Amino acid sequence: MRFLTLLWINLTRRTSRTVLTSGGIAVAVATAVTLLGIAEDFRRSAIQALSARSVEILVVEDGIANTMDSELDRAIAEHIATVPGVADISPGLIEMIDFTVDDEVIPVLVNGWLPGTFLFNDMSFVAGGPFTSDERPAVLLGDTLAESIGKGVGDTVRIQREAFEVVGIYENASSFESGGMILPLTQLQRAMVRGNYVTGFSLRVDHSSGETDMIERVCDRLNSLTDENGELLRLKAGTPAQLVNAAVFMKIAQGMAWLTSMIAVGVGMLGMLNTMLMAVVERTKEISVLRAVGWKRSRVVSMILGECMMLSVGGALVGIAAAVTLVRWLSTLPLADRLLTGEIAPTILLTGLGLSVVVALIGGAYPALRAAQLRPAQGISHE
Amino acid sequence: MSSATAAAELIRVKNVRKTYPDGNVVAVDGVDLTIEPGEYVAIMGPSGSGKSSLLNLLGTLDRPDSGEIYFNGENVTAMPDTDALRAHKIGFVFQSFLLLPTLTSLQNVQIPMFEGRLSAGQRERKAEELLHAVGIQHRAHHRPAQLSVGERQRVAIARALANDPVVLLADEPTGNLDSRSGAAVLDLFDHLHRDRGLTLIIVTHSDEVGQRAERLIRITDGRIVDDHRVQENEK
Repeated sequence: MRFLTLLWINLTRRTSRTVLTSGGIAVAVATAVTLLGIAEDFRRSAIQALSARSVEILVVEDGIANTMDSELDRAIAEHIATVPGVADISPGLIEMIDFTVDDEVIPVLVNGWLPGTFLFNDMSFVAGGPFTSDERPAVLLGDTLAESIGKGVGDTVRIQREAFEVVGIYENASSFESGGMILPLTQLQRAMVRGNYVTGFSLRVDHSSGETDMIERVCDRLNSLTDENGELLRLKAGTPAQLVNAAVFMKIAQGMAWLTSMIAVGVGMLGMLNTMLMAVVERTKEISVLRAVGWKRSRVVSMILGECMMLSVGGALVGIAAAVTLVRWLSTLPLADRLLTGEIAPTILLTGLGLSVVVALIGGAYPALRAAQLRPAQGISHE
Repeated sequence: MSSATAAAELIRVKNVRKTYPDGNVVAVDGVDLTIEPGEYVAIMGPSGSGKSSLLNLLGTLDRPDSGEIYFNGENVTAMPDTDALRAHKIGFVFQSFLLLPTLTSLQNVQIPMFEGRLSAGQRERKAEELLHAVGIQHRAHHRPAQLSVGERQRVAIARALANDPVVLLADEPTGNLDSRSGAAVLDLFDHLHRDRGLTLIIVTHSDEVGQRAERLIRITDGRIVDDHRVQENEK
């Protein structure tokens, strides 16, 4: 008989209690993996959306909590263009608008870009092509959004009561992009009454100098950029990943995900503690027999913690499978399919497994120590 | 203690005293005792006389309040833990068998072997041999609840022999058995003593058990009141 066989036999002696405890862990891990997975998916999608357009640096207004609240004068582009190392620059306006699909109002991310900028370079169109004029009320739809609203090239989409003609349908691996739309910058500024303001600037860097830290250098220069009067322009420059990670909404999303996950894991841990404590009390005589026949305290601890580990990791595997299924299903819902890819990062799956190990070790520690402290004679006379 | 003395003694008990806090009961009161290798000793006495407490002390299941116990010349009362000693030198047989209810006979016998160096396969083979030795190999895959009380005690004896101990301690081993099963268990003890040279220390109420032993120790109120070799005419 292997040691693991003994643990398994111990767990299966009370099947319903084992299943319930393991089920509690499964729910806790499923909650954690789902929430953390969605938050991470959201973060990765945002970074991917920007990286896919070969954007190396993003410039937004400094000192604001939410990047989407950034408001910079489009004319600042001229100052930025003078910074050594900046190869290409494209102003952009990002807005979230309400869009009605089948009588349901959903939020849609709208980008305002200038025609002909490098942002269009790597774009892949499944129908039509990019708009060529900043003056014409045209719109490009992400393929997911186009499918959701049933629109194709030549159709009309109403945004803020104005009609825009669909001139292209693009595809993008990022759910942010594929679930959004792109308007000519001037058209979006007008529709949203944003004057000449933009959210920020997307930059590409000139790497011809061969310097490995070129992006960092350009960011430093942009952060200290001044106008013609020597006034600091109050710009915040960083890579897409840096700005996305620093975004308050991203931090809140991740913080909420972790907080809720920890509450769920804490409840699972209490369940584990309760179950194993009951098991140790019920098995006092048996554990004393094990001590009487020479089992070391450490082996008793190994037995109890091993049982906790099997309960917890078993539950975690079920929870992870449930979370993967749940997130995939969520991503198919109209409200979420523009924000989620439906994939959970492997690091999050490992985090779920790691949490189950922590639950087992912490939830099982006290019962294991209590079991190990039983004196052989004490337990044998237990009855 | 000299090494020559130690070699002749398996267990030496020096002025051992054990008091239980609940009711201030003095269970063992200044006992001195020497057990030599290969002896077959019966400890008898009325209920509450302290014989089981003394057995627990001999088997290091409990610690004395004062006094010293030596095992093969080593002072076990000074050891921080005696798990290894119990695992490899001492076998226990209890009145109520104390088999693990969810394990089969074969699995129960393997339990002490986890403290040894045998592989899972070796553990299983050895357990089969032990069950064969106690005549219960045909019940190897039955759980305790599926066995008669006599069969359970045989499994318990096989478990006690799992790590080839030098001494077997038994607390009322026939106390829960009918006379036929009890006699079979005692025959098994005789065989283990005679053929394997195993040292046996048995706590019992039974005169029959006492008569089978080579040495009889009587204990009353925690003190040894009689300790003599059993003569043929006593048997």
